[in-house]
Amino acid sequence: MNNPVFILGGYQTDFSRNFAKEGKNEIALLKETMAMTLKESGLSKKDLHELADEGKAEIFEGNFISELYCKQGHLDGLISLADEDYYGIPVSRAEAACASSSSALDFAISKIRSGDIDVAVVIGWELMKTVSPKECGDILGYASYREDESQGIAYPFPKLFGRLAEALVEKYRLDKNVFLDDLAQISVNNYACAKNNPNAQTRLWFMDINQAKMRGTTTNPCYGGMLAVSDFSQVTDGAAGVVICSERYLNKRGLSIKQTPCVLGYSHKTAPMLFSDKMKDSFADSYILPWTRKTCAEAYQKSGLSFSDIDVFEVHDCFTSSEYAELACLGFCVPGEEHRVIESGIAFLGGSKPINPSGGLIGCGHPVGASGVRMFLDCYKQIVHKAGSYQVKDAKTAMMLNIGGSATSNYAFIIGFGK
Amino acid sequence: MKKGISIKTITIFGANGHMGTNVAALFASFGHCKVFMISRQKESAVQACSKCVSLVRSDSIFNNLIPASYDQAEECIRQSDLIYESTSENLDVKRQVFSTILKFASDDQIIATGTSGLSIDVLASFLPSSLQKNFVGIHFFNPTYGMPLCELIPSQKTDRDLLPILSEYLTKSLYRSVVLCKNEPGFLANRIGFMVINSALIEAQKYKDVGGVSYVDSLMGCFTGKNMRPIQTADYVGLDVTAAIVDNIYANSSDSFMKDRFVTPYYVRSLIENHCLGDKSGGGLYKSMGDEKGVQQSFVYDVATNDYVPSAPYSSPFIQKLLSYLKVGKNGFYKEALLANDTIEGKLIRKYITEYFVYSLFASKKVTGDLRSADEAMQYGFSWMPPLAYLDLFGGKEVMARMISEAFADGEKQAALILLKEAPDSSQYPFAKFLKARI
Repeated sequence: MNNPVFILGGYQTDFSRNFAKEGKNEIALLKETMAMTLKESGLSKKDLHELADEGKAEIFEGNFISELYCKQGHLDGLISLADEDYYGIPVSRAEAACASSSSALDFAISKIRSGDIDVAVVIGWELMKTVSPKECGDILGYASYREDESQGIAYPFPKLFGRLAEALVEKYRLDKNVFLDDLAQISVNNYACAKNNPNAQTRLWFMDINQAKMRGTTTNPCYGGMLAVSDFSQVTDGAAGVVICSERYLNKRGLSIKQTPCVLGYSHKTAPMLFSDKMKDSFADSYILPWTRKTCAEAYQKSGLSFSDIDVFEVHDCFTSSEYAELACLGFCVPGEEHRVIESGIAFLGGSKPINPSGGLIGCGHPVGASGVRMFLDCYKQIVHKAGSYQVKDAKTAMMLNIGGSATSNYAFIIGFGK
Repeated sequence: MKKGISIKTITIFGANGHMGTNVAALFASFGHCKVFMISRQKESAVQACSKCVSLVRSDSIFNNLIPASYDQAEECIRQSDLIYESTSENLDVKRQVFSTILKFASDDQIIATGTSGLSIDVLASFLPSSLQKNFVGIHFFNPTYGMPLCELIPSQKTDRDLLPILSEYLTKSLYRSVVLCKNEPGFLANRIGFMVINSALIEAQKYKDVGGVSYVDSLMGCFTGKNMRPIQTADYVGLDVTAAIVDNIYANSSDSFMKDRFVTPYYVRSLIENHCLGDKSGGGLYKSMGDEKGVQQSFVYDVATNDYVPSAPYSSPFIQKLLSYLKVGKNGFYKEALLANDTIEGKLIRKYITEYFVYSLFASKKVTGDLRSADEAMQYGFSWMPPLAYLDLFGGKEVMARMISEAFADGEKQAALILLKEAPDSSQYPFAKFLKARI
C-alpha cells in the first residue's frame, strides 16, 4: 500500500521559554502541545479518542533523552498524565538523537501509508534547561559513540562539528578565513530570520556580522576548534506537534485533497556512527556527507521533484558547518562551490531559495527531540501561507533536512500539494 | 530628517546611569549607531562602555561606544542625529542638561528623554520652540535587552509626523514593541505596574500581623501571572525610585479612581530615609545577611516591629495545591481551585488579580485610548500576564464580573464593571507561559 499522507496542522511552543524557570515539568509541556496541536488541526480530543477506539489513530512521540534531562523514561505512558482523554490511545516513542521526531514522523507516515491507521498525532519535545550547560553538553554526547567520541570530553558536539569544519577546508581546499566569514554569514542569516518569528528563542538577541566574525573573544568563545558560540544553536526547551492523516479521513472531514498539503516524498539513511568513518566514506566521494546527500537525492527521486521545484527549505543548522555542508547535499551547488551560494545570497532572507525563514536551529532554537517536527511544521506553515511575519511569498513546495548525531541519522521530507 | 529617518550617531546624557547604559547598548547593537556616552566623569563613561558589551554579550559593539564628558557636549551633539537624555529623575538636573543641549542642538535633530514618568510637556518647556517639535519621550524598560517594551510619548508641541517615523525605527531597527502614550504621569506600564507594587506595600502594612511583606508578596506572587513578586520588584527597582514613581502619579494624575493605591506607606519612607533602598543598597524589604558562620540567610522586613526577621517566601497548603497544578500544566484545575476557594487567602489572590485587571483597563483607556494596549505594555515591560488574558484563563467576562463584585467596594464597583463591559472579550496572547509554578 502506498496511500498519500496529508497534513492537517500543528503547534509549536515559544522556544524562548525556560520550563525550569517556570517551575513546570514535561507533563505541562506535553499537555499544552497535545491540546494545541489538536486544536490547530481541527481535531477534538473526542474525535481522536473515537478514532483510536476503532484502531485508527495513534500518537507518536519523538524525544532524544528525557531519561537524563528530566530523569523520566517510559514516555509512551507519560502522555496519559497529560490528560485522561488520552487513556487507551496507542503511543510510541522514537529516538534518533536530534532527528528523533523525524523518526517519529517516519513511523507515523508509514502507518498511514500502509492503511493501518487514519490519523497520527506526532509530538517532538525536549526539556534541556533542567541541567547546567556543561551537563547539557555531556548529555548531548550520548548522540555520538561515547567511548571514542565524547566520554571525558567537554562539549563534544561543538568539537565534532568543528572537525567537520576542518574537513571542509581540507577537502575543498578552502581559504580558511573566507570559509569562516561564510560561516559567520550563515549564523547572521539565521539570527536575522529569527527576528521575524514570534516563537524563536533568539528573537530578542543581538548578532551581527562583526560579532559572528569575532571568534575567540569573551562574548564569542571557541569551544569547537575553529567554531565559536555564534556558530552554535543554543540549549532550548520546547515542543512541536503536527497531525497527519489519510485520504479516507480527509474525505470524512470534507476537506479538499487538492488544497491540503501532503508528503510528496521522504527518505531516511543511517550513516556510519563514528565521525572518522564518515570522513573515510567521504574520501572517495565528492560530497563531504555522502549519506546526507543520498538522503536528499532519494527524497527528490521519490517525490518526482528536483531542487528547482523547492520554494523554501528548513535545514539542520545545529552548527554553521552543518548548514554549509548541507548546501551541496540539497542541490544548491556542486560540492566545493558552497561559497558561491553564500556569496549570491539566494539561500538567505529575501533570496529566491530561502533556507530557514524560521531562524533554523541557531535562530529559532534546538530542543533536540522537537526539531524534526518543528521543521516539518514550518514547511507546512509556509506552503499554506500561515507563517505570518516570516512567510515566504508564494511558497508552494517545501523541503526539510534533519540530521541526528554527527549526520548519522539523516531524514529529508518534501511536502507540497498533490496533483 | 523626517523622511527615511537615519539615526547613525547619538549622544546619551547620563550614559553611566543604569538606564543610560542599557539604552546605549541597544542603539550601539541593533541600531549600529555610534554612541557618545556622556557622563560627569569620563572614567565612569569608560566603565559604562564595557558594561554595554556584557549587556548585549557582544564585543563587536565596543568600537561604537565613545566615552565622553560634559566638556565634550558640543562636539558630540553637533555630530548626532539623536540626543537622548537619561539623567536622574529630577527636574532641576534635567533642566540643566537641557540648557546644555539647547546651546548646540539644531532643529533637524531629534531630542528625546528617557524619563519614566516626569511630564513631557514640562520637559519640553525647557527647550526653545524651534527644538520642541522634534522633542519626544522614548521610555525603555529595565533590563532593556530582555524587555522589549518602548513607550513613545509626544509633548503637546511634538510634530505629529515624527511619531510614525520614530515608531517604525524603534520597531524595525531596535526590535522594540512600541506603545504610543499620552503624556500622563507614569505613562502606561509603570502606571499599572506601580499600582500593583504600591498596593502590595500598602497591603503588607494592613496584614502586618499575619506575615506582612512575605504574606502579601506571596499572594501576589509568580503563580498569579508574574515573573517576579511585586515587593521583590520594588527592591529590584529601588524603593526610592518606586516611591518617586508612585508619588509622581499621585501628585499629577487628575482622576480619583483607585487613587488611594498610590499613597506611599510611611514605613517605606522611613526605610528610604535609612538608606535601605533595596538590592542596590544591600537590602530593602528583603535582605540577605551572613550568619556567624558566614552562611547567607534571607531576611524580610517586619512592618510590625520595624526589624528584619528570617524568612522564606510565605506559602500554604492552598498555594502548594495551585503550584502542583501549574507544574503539570493543569491550568483548568488551577482556575477551578482559585475560583472556588473561600478562605481569606483565596479572596485576596482573586482581589489582587482583579484590581490589576481593572486598573489595566482604566489606565489604558486613559493613556492610550486602546484597551488592548496594556496587554503589550505589561508582558513586554514587566513580564506579567497580559491583563486581558485573565478573561481567557477564568472563562470570560461573566466570571470576571463576579470577581469584580467580590473584590471592589461599592464606590468603585460600578466604574469597574463599566470598564469590563467596554473591554475586548479576550486577549490576543496565550496565558500559559505567564503562570509560573512558583511563588
